[in-house]
Amino acid sequence: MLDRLRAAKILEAAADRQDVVLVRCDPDISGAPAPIPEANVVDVDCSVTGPTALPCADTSQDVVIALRVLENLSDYRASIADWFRTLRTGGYLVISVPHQFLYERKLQPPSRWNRHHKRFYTAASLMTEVEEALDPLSYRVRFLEENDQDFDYTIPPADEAQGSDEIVLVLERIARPSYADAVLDERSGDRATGRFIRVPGPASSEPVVAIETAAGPPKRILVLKVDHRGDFIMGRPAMELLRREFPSSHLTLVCGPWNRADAEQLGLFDEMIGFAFFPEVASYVSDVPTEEERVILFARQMAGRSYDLAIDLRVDQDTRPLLTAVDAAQRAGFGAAERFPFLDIALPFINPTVSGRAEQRLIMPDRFTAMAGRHEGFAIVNPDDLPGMAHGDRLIYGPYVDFEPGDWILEIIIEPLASDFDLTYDVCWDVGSNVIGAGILPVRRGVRPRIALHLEEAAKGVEIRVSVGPSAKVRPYRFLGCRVGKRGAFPALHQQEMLVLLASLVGHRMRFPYQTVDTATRLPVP
Amino acid sequence: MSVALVIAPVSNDPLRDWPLSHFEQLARLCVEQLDATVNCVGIRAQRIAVNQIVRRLPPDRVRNLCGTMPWSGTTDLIRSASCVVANNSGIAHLAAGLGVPTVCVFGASHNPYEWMARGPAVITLHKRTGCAPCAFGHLGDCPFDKRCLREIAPETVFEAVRRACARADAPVQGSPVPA
Repeated sequence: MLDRLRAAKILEAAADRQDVVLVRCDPDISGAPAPIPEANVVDVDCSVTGPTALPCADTSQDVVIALRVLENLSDYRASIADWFRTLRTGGYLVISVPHQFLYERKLQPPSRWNRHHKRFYTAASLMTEVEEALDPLSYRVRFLEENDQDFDYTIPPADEAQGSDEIVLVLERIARPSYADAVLDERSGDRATGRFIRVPGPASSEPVVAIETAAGPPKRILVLKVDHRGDFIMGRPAMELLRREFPSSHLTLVCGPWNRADAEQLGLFDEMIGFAFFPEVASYVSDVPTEEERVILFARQMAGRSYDLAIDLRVDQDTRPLLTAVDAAQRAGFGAAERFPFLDIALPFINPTVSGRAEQRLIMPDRFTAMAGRHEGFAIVNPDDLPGMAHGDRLIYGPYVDFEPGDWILEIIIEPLASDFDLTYDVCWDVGSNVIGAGILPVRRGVRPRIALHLEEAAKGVEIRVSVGPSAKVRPYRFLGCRVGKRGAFPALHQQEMLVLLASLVGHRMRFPYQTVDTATRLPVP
Repeated sequence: MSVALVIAPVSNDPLRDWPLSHFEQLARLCVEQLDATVNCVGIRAQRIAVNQIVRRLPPDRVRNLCGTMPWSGTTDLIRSASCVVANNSGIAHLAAGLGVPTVCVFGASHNPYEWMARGPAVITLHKRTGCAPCAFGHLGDCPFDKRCLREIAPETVFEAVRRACARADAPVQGSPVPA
């Protein structure tokens, strides 16, 4: 091996060094004369499982040579690090280990030839150990060789090998560059973008929380289905789903008294409670208690009962406050958490019937002002030809209504009372300063142009103006107002589908329920 | 109690990674106090970074297995673990889904209630910094030195590991996702 190092000029470089340590622990060579006479020999005990520390000060040595040592030591990281610790900058660490496919000639330990060998080596696995052990910015590899000089490849593995059978590695300790810490800092790969975000609050308001899987399925579940007969029928798949999700839980149903017989027939619930949040037929009742009063009534009825989970199976949000009247560990229902902060499981669904809905309405002519003709019943009627008018003269304007954002279709309903002719229209707000649509308005039988308006934002006080057309001709007409329509924000999900989604969400969430605790106090936090 | 811990210290986004030095301290605590063996998993490219975790720890207790096994091997290793510690990453979801006690150290870039791993035995640790959730995708975006993760102490995570391992002995409700 030393020949190889001389050939690589490694030992020449080390020849005039003063402080050389030779580390040995292979029992086969222990006690043998040192190959480098001037070296201090340190024999280490290879039976030690922990790190083996050299009796040398930090950065005191020029060369540390560990010949056939590493393979005997359990803690290769600590051993390599300790040898390296003793080197001065510019010093060499020389390591030799037996080669797995020259010396051992076996796929995995134990060794045929030395029972102390704990690991087998290739050049790569030796480097793996070095890379694990040493700061990558503190050394350079100066020499790495699989030395098979005079190795006899004809000898079968069962017989002891002849010739060189080792891996030789020489590392040089280098001065650690000043940027080394920056390289090892995980942040080095990402250049600061300088984007600014919110300034954090005081540390006291920033607890470390643990969101932990809570033990146990809900034992007692309350299901609210307090609406009408059709609603109850539509809720059946969701109720069946809840029973499947919680086969061993005690399920209590609260329903309108009119649905109780159907509920009993379903056979899904262990207990049923009748509560008339709504009148059975709303139009027959005029003196319904206020919502607040009904919630109080419900709270009285539910006093003394407690549940692990309460679910309100109604999409409309009017019954959600009933959940506040129930003693329940978790509450589930439709609605945004911001609006119903008491919901632990909130399905923030917009109800397409109420929000973002498809809309159709008629704006009656009495919302418009007539500059010609007169209001007659619901209509604005101009019974005569109007000579002497000029293009752009205003005939009808109004109605100053608000439009939500969306894609609107506007129909101006105006009919000829004699022959056909053309007028113009424009749609604007802010007294004409923002025109959002304009064009020719044909006044013809059987023709009713649809005007498309795309509003990115809400428009307040929208004005629709009908004026004299380019021909300046105005014939008798009747104006019946404007029909406006808007497509819904999205295609509506069926009530039944939405209820199934909520039941499915509850089932999924409660499969692995969780709770949040402050890690410092172990107290629950919202 | 002997603990076989798997650590997945590097995700695909440095912004989500709990600091390597913290993982090192956690591994040391687990070795010293739980008599644990710690296997660090990851891909080949993460090996050098993970060396920073294992460097000063005994190799017979703390191993760097990055790049040494395919995904299926990692799955088998996780399946047999007493506890898995991971960032907000695929390994956390894998371990949680397999029903293995999982401790996930979750940064402030995402809302944990939206993205955390779900399973029968999961502890998600999260510091509620005022800047959360920032929804940033690059470490360089963070002007606060990733304090949402840096300020989750190794001792806090160690305590969660201990709780997760203790709870693993108790029956948990629900069943893991089938393999």
